[in-house]
Amino acid sequence: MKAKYFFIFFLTFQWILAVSLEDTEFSGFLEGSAGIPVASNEYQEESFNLGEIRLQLQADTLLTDTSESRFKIDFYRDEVLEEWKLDLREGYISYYPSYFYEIKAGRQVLTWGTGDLIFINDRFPKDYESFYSGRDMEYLKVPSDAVKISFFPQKYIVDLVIIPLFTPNKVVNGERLTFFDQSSGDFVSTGEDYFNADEPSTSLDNTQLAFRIKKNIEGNEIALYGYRGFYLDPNPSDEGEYYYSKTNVIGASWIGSALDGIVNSEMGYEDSRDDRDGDDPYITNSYLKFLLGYKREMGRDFTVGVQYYLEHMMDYDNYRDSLPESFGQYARHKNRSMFALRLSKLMMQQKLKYELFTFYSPTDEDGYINPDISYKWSDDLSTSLGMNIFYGKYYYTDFAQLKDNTNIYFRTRYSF
Amino acid sequence: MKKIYLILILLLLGSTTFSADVDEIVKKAYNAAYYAGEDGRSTVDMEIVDKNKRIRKRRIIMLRKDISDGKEQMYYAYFKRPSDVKNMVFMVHKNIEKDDDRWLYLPALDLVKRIASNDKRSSFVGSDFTYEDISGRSIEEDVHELTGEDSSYYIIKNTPKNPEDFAYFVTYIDKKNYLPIKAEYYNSSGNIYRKITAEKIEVIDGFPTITIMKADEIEKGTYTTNKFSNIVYNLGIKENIFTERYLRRPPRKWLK
Repeated sequence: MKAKYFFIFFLTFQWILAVSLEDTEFSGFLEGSAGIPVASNEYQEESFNLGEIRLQLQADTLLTDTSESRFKIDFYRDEVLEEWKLDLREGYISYYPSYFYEIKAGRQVLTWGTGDLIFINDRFPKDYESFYSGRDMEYLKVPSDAVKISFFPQKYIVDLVIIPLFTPNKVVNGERLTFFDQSSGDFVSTGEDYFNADEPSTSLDNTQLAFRIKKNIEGNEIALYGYRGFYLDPNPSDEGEYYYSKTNVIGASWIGSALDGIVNSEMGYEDSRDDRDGDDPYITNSYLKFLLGYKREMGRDFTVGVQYYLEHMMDYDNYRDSLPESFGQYARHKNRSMFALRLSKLMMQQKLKYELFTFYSPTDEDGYINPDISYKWSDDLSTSLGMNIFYGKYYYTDFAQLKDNTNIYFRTRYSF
Repeated sequence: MKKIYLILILLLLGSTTFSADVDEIVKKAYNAAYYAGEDGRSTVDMEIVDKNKRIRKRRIIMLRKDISDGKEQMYYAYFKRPSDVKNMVFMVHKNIEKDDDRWLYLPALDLVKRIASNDKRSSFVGSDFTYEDISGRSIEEDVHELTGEDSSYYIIKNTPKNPEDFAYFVTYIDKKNYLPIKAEYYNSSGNIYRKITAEKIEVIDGFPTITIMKADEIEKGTYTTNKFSNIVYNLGIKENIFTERYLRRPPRKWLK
């Protein structure tokens, strides 16, 4: 199935190249990356959890006065999975015939919302495995095969995204990173995808819809969001198979200048459509989620950002009542909160960048720390060195269970 | 007695005319440097040179639209080169009463990011120019004194009302076209540690325009040169170009 679509994209790409080579701009990079676990190798099959040589090629073509295309292909050797891979990162045509609307169709990266690495209304797929193993931030986002239609009535932006082909999150699944599996009560050794989840079939009913209505009022950006589709993380069924259950999400956000910095707030209500009463312990409960953030420059080229996040489980009593006794110790909290901090300092004409990003959950008493130093040797050559550190009081909470994946990573990229 | 009154009145008038003159010069210079025409476009070739003489280059297409002369403005900067910042967009809504609104669009993540803008003297994209150098330092921020003039230039000392990283700066304003051709920044010990110079001026569409501009960090030993080309004024760029719509989908018509 995927191969067929790839072939169609490839043919389109060939056609565009043939039509308008002189209107095409090429760019790309060659990158080597390595990540070495430093905590424990007990559940790690390999002595490294990131090892790649990657070539990315991008072609941007102006097709007509009102349309353009982008194709971005990653070709890489993954030493952890011992595979050669070819990924179409982006392959879309953007068509803007009128002042009132435009359309972007094909494989595309989609992002909205106001959080910094905290996503409430952004229901588009993410690759947490990439993020936690030390790949470039670009790979946190998984592209969607979608059609995005945007309208511009008055001073509003109305985006409607139709996603007919399902793309899930790439969660920590045991392939490269280990995690704690509650049903077996043990950590999963790396090597293969533990979930092997069933994806929803391609049908009209399973087509995901997302919309956003946004307006900028004197620097205050206000948005409303809606989503009809699926949770993108797999959940177990009664039979022990994994699949993706259904959800609807509505939410709102605001971002603007205040207190000498930028303040943002976002909230969302996740309706768990397959478990509206919250009494199925295998399916995620409905949640109310809330985010508040603030960032400002505290010194020359030094930015500090803080975020507070709270998720409230809607039917906590039903959840606890239905939870089998053996799972009782792993039970989620009714209210789980989390803080995030980002410090970012640029030096030497911004060639050198120190960055620290961290999550801490007082509820779970666990967290994640990502220090990163990057340096630009020239316009073409850059290097990053950093760590993914997971910690926590208990072994089964969201971040603490990833403790053994704590690594040091290193990347060098040559851009052209 | 009447004569004395008359003299007093004349003196008062004289002094107010004089101080109005300084503010008038500064205002004219500010408008000449940052508000030529109703809007404008240019290609900026930036060379950022570090103290080891290593050069980094940026090519940026800049769009500008004035909302009101000497006041609110909008900037749109589209990065053409180098490859690692290609297709990135940086946008500013310059405000008068409050902090500017700044956005950055990162195409690989399809991410529109609000940028904190309380520090207007931080570096513009890693160069030796500050945000203020690019979009203009509000004339309300400083006290201006005409400290000298010759046949070609007004020499004006600008002392910040609130503490800054400089003690004061001195601008040389061309009497013919009111363009600031040099700005020298003094530290608290009275030495010039930084300067900005207009290296080349051309008349484009009737507007005297600085086409080569250099920022020198004398103490740090670094400098940046901006060369402006393909300059066009009064294109009729609409205000709505400077919105999220065109961050995500660059307005090709204006970027050619």
